[in-house]
Amino acid sequence: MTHDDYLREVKFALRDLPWKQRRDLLADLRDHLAELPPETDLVARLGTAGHYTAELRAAAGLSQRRGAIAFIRSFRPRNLVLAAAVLTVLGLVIAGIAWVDSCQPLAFGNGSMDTPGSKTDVGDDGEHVAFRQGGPFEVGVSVVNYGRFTVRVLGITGDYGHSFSELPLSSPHLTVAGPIANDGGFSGPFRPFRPFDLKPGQLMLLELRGTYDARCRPAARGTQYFWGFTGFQVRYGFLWRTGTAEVDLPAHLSINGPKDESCSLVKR
Amino acid sequence: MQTSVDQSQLLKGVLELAVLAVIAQGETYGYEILSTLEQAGLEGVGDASVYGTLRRLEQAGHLSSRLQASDSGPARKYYSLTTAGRAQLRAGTTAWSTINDALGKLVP
Repeated sequence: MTHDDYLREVKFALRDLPWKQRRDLLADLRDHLAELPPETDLVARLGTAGHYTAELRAAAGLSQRRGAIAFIRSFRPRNLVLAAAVLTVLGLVIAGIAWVDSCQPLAFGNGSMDTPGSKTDVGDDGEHVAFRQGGPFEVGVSVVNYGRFTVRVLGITGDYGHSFSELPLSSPHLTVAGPIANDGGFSGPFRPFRPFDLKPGQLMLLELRGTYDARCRPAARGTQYFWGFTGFQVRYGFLWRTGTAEVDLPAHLSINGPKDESCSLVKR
Repeated sequence: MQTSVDQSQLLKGVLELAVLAVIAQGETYGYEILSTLEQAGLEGVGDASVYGTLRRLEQAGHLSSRLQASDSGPARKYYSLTTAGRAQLRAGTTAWSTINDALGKLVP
């Protein structure tokens, strides 16, 4: 058995002792082994590693240590600090990833359908907006970032259940205007939508534009086509993640299909 | 073999005193202490017992130690008696004399 083998076995047998104590005892043994003649049979001279450690413990008054505290103290303090630091960093990274994954900083600000040429009528069941067949169609929503970090708005994909491609529009396109300051000031005209960074507290107007094109389709008497909207899905990017924020409309919006001759009625 | 066991059992009781006595002769290190004990006829005392005793005496403040570079290998740990160690040696010597006198009367 080589010196290293013997030292390794003794080290294992003393693994319950505090690291500094174990280090000192092993240093004593290492020095002692170095003093012995090279041809010395270690087991014959010192006994087995188990016998050696039992004798050492008895002479030094070192009892077997058990429990969580003994387990922790058996590690080198530097390694404990290192392990704690690694665990802390790991925990922070996991918490950071979880936070980023759960972060949804977008909120819906408002909605509007004040298209020039449309007819607005306030009835008992809400506000009705009638678009003219072949006339312009505009639905605007504002999106605000109430979080503490800038996010990138990638677009509006549709509502909870419908895609905008299902709307009775021809030449639909998304436009954007803003940012709008907190005091309500408006800056800039509507321009073609491109993904943009929305800073904390900033509010932008997104408007879907096109030509209203609800053709009267044959339907059984008493049935009616409609496109219902309760909110919009806004695609956004935040750090490495892209997500979809579902922003609610303040009131239900329905675009009704043909029932009779007035087949281009919008109610909200 | 039985004789050896008996001797080692007896030695355990006086090993501390023997180690203190060796170190009292002058600053020395573990392997030299072992060799001195063997040369004095105290064979059968285990190496681990000597190192364990040194450890316990140092923890109790009876010994002080320092490392000194060695020409033949790693640095050696040299032990010397502290004031408390010298007092312990005196007390141990007195106790040993008393036991020795008593045993001298009992053991033919």
